[in-house]
Amino acid sequence: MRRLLFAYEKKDSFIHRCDPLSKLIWVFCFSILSLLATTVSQQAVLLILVVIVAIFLAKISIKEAGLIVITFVVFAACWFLIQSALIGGTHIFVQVGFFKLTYEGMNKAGAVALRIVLLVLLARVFIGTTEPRSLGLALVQKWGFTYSVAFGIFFMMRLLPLFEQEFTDLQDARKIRATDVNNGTRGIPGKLFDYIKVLLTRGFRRAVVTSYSLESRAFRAQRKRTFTTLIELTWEGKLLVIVSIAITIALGTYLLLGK
Amino acid sequence: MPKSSILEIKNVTYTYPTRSHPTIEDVNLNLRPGECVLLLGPTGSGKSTLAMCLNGLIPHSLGGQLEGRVLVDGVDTRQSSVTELATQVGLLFQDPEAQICNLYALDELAFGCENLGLPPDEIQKRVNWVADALEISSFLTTPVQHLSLGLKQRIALGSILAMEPRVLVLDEPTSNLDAGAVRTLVRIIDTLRNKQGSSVLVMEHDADSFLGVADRVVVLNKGKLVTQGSPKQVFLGQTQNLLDMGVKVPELCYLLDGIRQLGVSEVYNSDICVSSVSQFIASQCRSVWRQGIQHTESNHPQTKRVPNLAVSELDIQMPDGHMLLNDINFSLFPRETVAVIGRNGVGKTVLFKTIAGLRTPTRGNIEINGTNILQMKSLERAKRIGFVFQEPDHQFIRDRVCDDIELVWRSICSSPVETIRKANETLAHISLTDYRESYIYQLSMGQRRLLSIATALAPGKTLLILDEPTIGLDSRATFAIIDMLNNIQGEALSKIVITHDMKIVSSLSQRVIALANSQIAYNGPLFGLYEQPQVMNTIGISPSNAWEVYKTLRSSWGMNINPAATVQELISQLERRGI
Repeated sequence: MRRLLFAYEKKDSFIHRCDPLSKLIWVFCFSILSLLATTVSQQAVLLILVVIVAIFLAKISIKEAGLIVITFVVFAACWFLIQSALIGGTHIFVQVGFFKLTYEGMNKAGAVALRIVLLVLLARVFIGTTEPRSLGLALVQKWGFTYSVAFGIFFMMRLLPLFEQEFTDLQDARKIRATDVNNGTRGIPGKLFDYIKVLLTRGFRRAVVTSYSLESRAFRAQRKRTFTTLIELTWEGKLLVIVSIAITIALGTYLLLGK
Repeated sequence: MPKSSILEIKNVTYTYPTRSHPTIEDVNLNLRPGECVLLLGPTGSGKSTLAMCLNGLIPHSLGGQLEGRVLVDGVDTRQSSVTELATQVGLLFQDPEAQICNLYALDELAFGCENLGLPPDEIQKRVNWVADALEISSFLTTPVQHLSLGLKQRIALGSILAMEPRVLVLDEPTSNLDAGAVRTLVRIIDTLRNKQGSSVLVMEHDADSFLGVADRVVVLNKGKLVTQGSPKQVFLGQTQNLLDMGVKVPELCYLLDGIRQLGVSEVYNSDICVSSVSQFIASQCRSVWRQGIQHTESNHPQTKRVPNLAVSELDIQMPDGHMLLNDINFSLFPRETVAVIGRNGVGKTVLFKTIAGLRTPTRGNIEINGTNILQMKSLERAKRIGFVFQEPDHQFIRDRVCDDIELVWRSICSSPVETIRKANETLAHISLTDYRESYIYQLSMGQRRLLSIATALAPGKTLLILDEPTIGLDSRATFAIIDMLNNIQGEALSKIVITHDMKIVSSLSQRVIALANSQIAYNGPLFGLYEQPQVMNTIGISPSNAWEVYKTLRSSWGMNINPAATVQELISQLERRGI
């Protein structure tokens, strides 16, 4: 059985011990910083910070962090090429006919590509260290969300590993039918479309049954429900929030003034 | 409504919003407190639709046109919301994965009670009771995604049971369960109805398991209630009718019907149990059967041939470090069919995904015709191994039936014309010619399973692995698959069938491999396994009723009879020796 990339994994790490809301604030802070950073070097610094958190504070192995980065680097690279070609500039790096790559364009495109990788890694750290139900519970108990909304978010997070598992099963079935080898004419987009089609069809069927099952088990029957699990804000979480906000203010100010 | 009924279905006809014809038509059914009713019907007969009428999902959530009345404790389901009905009617759906919405079993079991706003102490008490009763206490904090389908089924059921509904509606609850878990479920149903007065409506394909607890049997076909009565009234004398409808009848009734077809005129009128049926058979043929015994030729495989598959010293470790399987050794020979059995979660599917090269073993060697599987390229593996997944939908690559089956033959045939011819032959073989141009998702589950098996078959395969090929199918589809598997062409092909269904084991396989406690607990003929109660207990299976009849005839009635694990084997002996 394979380890899933986007599934909660029980471990004992600093980030695992942080409560879900603190981690949500941390993700929010770094997402804001990533949006403010417009150059490759700025994004690289932020990415390094997130990688450090992932490896040392969330105990994600270097191999796994690398795998996540590499998986999305392909997508980011495609994005980089398209953006590089579209964004203009005065300092030409290379020109073939009408097609020209400029240093400015490459810098901005590189920043966007790194932003994609950074956001994916942030999401991975958050999902991998946060038990989905605890997020739902925390949103209700600490931030006063109605439980149907909070549980909606939780069920969405719960679906991610299921989709990933389903994707793995589909890959297995195709491997065993050797369609990846025989099916060269359709190429990657064709295969991706096949996967998405099955995932959506089955995902929709599953979602319908899940909604029936929820209703059948008195979901939303009462305005307030019992919670057998109570979420506590941890000192690790508080520390993470303080540091994240401090870094966001400091770096955010620098990035804004730097413009 | 009679006061004694907790549930009354009165002249119910329902038409889905997107359809013009009703799915169920003029259905009438009562359920009394403490009563257990077994509702049988072939795939597509309307069982699930009827189930959703009972807890108000129809018409509240699904819409459509509902005629007639469904009364739960005297209240029309139209007048109550689904959530209000949740404490009255608990509905277990067919697909356990789709209804589990929490990450851990513990949270899932408490989920419904939390929604009801019960006090935490009460919730804890109910969760503990359900976990103990369903034997899932040791899995409460294991992530659900790491558990087998059977365990997920038990968790889903536990979540319903914890809400202590007065009526329990179970839609194919045993389809993913091993025999031990089925016995546990039947025991729980018995406890619920006897001690708590709960009423239970079980919608099933497998009548055998519930024969002992069902007070009444109801048969639904093409949306209409065709017969109802005590198990004896429904099953005896109507066996062939029920089989024609696609309803699986209890093994003993199948046996009695076979005896009747052999010309026995005396009407069987006792209880449907092993001792009474054995006594009936003995009374019909005792004198003839006291003559000498003639052993049939053993159909056990010759083991001196070169194996198609050789597995040695195989270890499989899970990502969390838990050793799932340890030191697995076995071989599989050409033309041999082996059934693999074991409790839910023992690692059957993972083992054979590893053998198919889809997982990397922690240690050990897997050889297909002498070549290590890890050294084979994926194309080579695909040429040698066919794998039929538990979920047929995973297997299809194209939208239409013809396109998908042509894909199998494209790499083998020399021309497009030959590809189409071979694809048409395959479709004819599985009776899907009429569906050639259909979209795969329009096929029934049984048809999709047949198609998925066909996509795993191509000339030159050495090994065909089938993971629960008959799960959730009615008798017609099950027989079609058994026929197909028994008639597969291919001199050198070996077949592995992973299943919980002992009738499939005895119908298809010459040998059984039973997994338990991370190891192979038994590897040999089915008869041999039936002679070892301790091993059977470990792997959670019971002998077939046919085997029990054989043993009773031999031990209690002194009949010279060859070992028989299936009804067909018993009947063929009766036919040969005269009855």
